[in-house]
Amino acid sequence: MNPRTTLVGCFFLPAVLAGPAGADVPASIEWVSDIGKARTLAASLGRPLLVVFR
Amino acid sequence: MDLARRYVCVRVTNMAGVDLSVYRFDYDLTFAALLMHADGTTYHRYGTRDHTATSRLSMESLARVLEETLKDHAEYSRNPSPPAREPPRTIEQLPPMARKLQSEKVNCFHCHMVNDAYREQAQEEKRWSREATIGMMPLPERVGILLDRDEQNLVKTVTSRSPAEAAGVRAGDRLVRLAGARIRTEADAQWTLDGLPAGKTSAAIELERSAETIRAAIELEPGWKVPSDLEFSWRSTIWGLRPSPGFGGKKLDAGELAAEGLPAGAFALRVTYMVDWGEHAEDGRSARRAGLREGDVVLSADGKSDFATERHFQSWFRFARKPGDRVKLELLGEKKRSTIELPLLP
Repeated sequence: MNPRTTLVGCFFLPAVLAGPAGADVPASIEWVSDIGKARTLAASLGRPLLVVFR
Repeated sequence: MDLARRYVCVRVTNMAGVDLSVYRFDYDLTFAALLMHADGTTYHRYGTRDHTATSRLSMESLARVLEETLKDHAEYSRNPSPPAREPPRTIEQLPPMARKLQSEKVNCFHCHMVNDAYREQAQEEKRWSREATIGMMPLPERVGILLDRDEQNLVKTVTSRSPAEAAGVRAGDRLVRLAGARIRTEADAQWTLDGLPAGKTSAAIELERSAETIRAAIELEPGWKVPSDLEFSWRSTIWGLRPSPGFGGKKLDAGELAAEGLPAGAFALRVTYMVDWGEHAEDGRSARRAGLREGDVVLSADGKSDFATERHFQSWFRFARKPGDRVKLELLGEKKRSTIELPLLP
């Protein structure tokens, strides 16, 4: 899987963020699907949010 | 790379229930990312495209903005200033969509449907502007700046005789601020340009050149936001613009061109559908009356044949022709060429 050509298919985004370019198995990044819950979590952890729309 | 672990990562695949007053981005995109604080502050945006789909995206640039935003987040968190809360609004609440939902079930709200609903609402309220629609989210090239794909606030080239050149912008400069906004990505620049008036205006810029900070202003003339037909062609928004040819199809590939006896690289569009649905079904009937049929191959429109994609062909009608025009279509059928005249309806 070539990340340059498949970035738009962001299902593999975690793999790219977690490992070397070319990895094609989503790794251990946990994606939240509920924005409201994510904001609460981000506030409690003091982390920023990465919100991907795809 | 541990970068993503330092974020709370959210993936949204359906716009249902998403508060449009908070999550604002280029809704025509099929991939967009917002880097935010939990209080609703958007630090940066990532994701843009042109007719080539992915040539403006890279892992390098995404990783870079993730890294840089961690610093922005730390700085902001020391003294947060949450944005004023606007009344929440969702796509389901926008009047055109709310009406549609009374008679139709929508399982998945795509991002582009937000733009469609906004446009329909503006048209209903007689405040729709074609110029505003086609001028949405201008690429930085509109002011003469081409940004680097991997370092998205690095000026790669400056167009000759452009507003950016007149302002003194040079290749190799780093675009730090535009109209007061911190720029880290091309999408940041587009978002900022989107907020500027389409008429004569001026935008302050702050550049880094070596260790020097340079401040200047880009002077923009009326119409500066208007893109080319090719630049706009990928947007779903084109389907809401007029006039329409009333048909569409698929560009022939190399093998199909050869089979038709056409030169490699030629434009040839096989008609696969004629519009026979919705409020513009008459477009397709009009094309049929003009002599067009499914399976015909269109070679040119008013002599123009350098369409990069089928979407470019569609976009050209909407940018270069107006309702009431008659377009000469050159067709290929049974190895014989013919020409028909296609009237474009209002």
